[in-house]
Amino acid sequence: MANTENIEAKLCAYVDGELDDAGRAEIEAHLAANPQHRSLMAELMKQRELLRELPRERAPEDLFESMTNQLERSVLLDGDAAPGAAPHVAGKIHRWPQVFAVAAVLLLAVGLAAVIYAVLPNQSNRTRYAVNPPSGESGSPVAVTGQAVTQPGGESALVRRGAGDRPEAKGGAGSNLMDTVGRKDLDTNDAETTMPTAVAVVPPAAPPAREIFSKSGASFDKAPADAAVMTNVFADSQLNEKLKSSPGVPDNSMLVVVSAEDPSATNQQIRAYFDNNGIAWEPLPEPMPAPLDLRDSQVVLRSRLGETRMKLKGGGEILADGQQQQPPQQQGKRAEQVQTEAFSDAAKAENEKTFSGQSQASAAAPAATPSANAADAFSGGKNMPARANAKDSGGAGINTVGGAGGAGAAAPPLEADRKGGDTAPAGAPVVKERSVDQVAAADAMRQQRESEQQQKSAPSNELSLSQPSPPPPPAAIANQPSAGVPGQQQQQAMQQQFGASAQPQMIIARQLTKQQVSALNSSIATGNRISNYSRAGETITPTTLPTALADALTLRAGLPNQAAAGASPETPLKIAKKQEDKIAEYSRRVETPALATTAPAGGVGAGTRPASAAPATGPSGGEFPVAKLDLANGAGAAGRATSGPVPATGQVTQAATVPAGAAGDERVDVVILVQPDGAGNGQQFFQEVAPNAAAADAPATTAATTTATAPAAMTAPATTTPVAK
Amino acid sequence: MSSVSGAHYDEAGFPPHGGAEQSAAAGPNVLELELIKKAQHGDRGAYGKLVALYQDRLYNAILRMVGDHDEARELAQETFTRGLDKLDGFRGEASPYTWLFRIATNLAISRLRKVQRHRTFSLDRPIGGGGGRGNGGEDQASALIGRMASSDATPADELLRRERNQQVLDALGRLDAEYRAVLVMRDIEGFDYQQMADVLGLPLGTLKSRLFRARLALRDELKSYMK
Repeated sequence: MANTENIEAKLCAYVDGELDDAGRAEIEAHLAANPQHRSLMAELMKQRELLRELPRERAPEDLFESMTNQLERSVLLDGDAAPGAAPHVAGKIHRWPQVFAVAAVLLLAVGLAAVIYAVLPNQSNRTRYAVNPPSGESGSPVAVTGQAVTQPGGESALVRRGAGDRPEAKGGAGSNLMDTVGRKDLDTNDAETTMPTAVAVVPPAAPPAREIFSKSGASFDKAPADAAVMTNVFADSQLNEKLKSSPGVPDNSMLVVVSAEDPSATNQQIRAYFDNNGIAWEPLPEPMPAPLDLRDSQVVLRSRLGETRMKLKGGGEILADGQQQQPPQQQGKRAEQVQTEAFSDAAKAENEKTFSGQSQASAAAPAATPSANAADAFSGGKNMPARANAKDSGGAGINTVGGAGGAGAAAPPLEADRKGGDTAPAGAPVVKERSVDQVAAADAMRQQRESEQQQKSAPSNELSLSQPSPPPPPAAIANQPSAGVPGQQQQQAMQQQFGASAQPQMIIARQLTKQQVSALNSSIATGNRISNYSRAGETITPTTLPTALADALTLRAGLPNQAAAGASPETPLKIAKKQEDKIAEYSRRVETPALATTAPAGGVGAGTRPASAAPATGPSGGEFPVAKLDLANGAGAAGRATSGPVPATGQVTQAATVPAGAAGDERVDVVILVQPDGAGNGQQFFQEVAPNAAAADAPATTAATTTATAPAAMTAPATTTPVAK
Repeated sequence: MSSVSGAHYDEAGFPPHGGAEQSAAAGPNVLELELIKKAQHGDRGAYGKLVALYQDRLYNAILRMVGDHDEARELAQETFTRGLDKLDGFRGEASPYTWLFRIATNLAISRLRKVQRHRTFSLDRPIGGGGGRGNGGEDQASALIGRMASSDATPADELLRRERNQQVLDALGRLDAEYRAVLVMRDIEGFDYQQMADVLGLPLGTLKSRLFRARLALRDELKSYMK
């Protein structure tokens, strides 16, 4: 191959005439011997000449022009190059501008992200509430002293705390009974069963005083393990405003907000709970709503669910002084109407002792005849704001709490009145709309009337046309000596006078111990949403219950008749089942009654509560799951007997069972505000978010159960509680 | 234009016929080296002068390789553009024209390999010395000038010459790109073996062998005409 290439190279050089003499002689000798090769060489030489004789083509003129233009462009674009710098080449693509552009975009993106991150509110600062699931799915344990739960089979379920902090039963079976309830331990198979006897129960060690008694908000970290975390974007401002304008709400009191689908029933059940447990309670008046500011022919949107026109009942024209001219057929009834009005005023004055402003209308309504009812509305406009508010409550429940319940129990004539506002009862005068002047005049009269009532020092129960009896201030009512429970007496009095629809909307129980608060929470928790607040100055700070108290939140009331109550559609538990599947599921699981007691067994503590602590019956007939704590055996009852402005009056005699060391228990005034649940009125107050897993480990209340260490041995009540399935 | 191209080239910047040895012995011109140095320092005017100096030679060489005026023009422009872009890579080891011709050869070979076709030259296309791009007027003028210059050439001789040239171009167009390149470089452009080896990156022996084979291939293409 190399030889062939070499020969070809020599032949090529021979053709080109570049071969040296030796090579040329060699080739010539070969060509002489091979004439055909000589002719080939001749042809190649001739072919070479033919190629050389090919014409030379000139480049097109535009080639140089295009190149010249390109050069000129490069000179113009790169003409500012500094001397001495690297030579710039025309046509070279510079990458630095692109790099700078990308870097600028990235810088802007990072900066924008930083700004957004800085501007957006911190999620951890959002208002969150740890609420107790209505059906108690929380796994946090609870410590309840003095409770023995007996299963229907005669076995007493010794419910324990959670696995994380499970106390050991001491003293052997049947000797010690420390009822600590863990929600996850409510399984019947897991419950230790023992026959409760007289058990010496030492009041549990008081948990460290924390959020519930503090003025400031508490950290959310100690919430129950799987307590649902609720985010309420309206609660702070609404409650703050409500409590600011509520007289008689002491600072630093604990506010228990209960959201119930049937606020009236829940309210009554709570009061029944207080009564059954011997806890003194007082009604708190709610602030009057602001006067309506209406313009001519304005349609008042009083409910988010629909618009309703403000109209007056009565046929006559509205006079300048706020009185309405009667139609001819009503003139003869004027005197009766005025008298009825006076009676209504007296009733209202009486109502204000215990009722809130929204309840006035509902309280006065049953006592009034249809004509008097019309006259009341007609005369006044005096009660118009309250009545309108009652309509609001019944219709939407936005501003008030118990209006819906009141409406449910109202008399038929008033029922019609409340529903429509313009649906007059039979024989009522023609309904006409109120003008702005009329409303303003009515408001002025109402304000004047209130001022006159406030100036009167002594209440009067006399029916008078000129001087209706003003209501005493709530504080005076609270301090009135009463033979029984003040709230119960007042309630009974009001019910006797006005019917069952008289419901206080906001009540206060003063100087409750932690255990009482816990038991209260646990009692309310079933079927209701519950939130606890503590008030600090003008700020309502949502707080979670302390860990120990959160244990109590997980308790479910005994539900003595819960199994039977399951058939009652009005039971809050059943309502809750309808509302939330989660709650319903848990409600089905949690069937072991924990606290329900029917009668204390009596024993060491002479002052036990009456054995016939019958469950309260709400207006709907459902059984309220009252956790009938035997307060006589608890430290809370002991502390309540020794201190606090509210004496231990009522059904429970507790003086003999007061432990000496419990006198210094921390106490708090608990204000209970029952409001309609969001599901019932179209306004969703709470939005459930992810469960708070950060508070899984809630320390439980420790409770020693040895009789030797018990400063005041008390007898745990023997309870017989049916298992609610 | 010829003033800057030196005495080795004619007015169009082409080497004289049969002057392959002369052009190979001449080496890079001093003026060309100065121009390209100025161009390397950013003097676009100097590079423009180089373009004006080499464009005809380079265009003609590319045209003989690719056989098409449009492609030859496009490749010539691309050659100068790349030369301007890679001006910093010129080290002065060869003449600027050799450096640019190497770029043009690579472009032409790549183009021919890409299109995978052999150019066939039109038979009726006028071919004349300095005839430009088929401009009939210029061709007639060029023919007249050539006739006046060669007073002894008869019209029959001119016709035969044209026919012969066309046959050679057609045969050249049917060759492979590599053969065309070496034939153009050696017989048309007058490169010496070393320049050709530098441009093509081949050893001298290989280059000579390829050149001999290219001539044999061209002889085969022209066999019918040669007989």
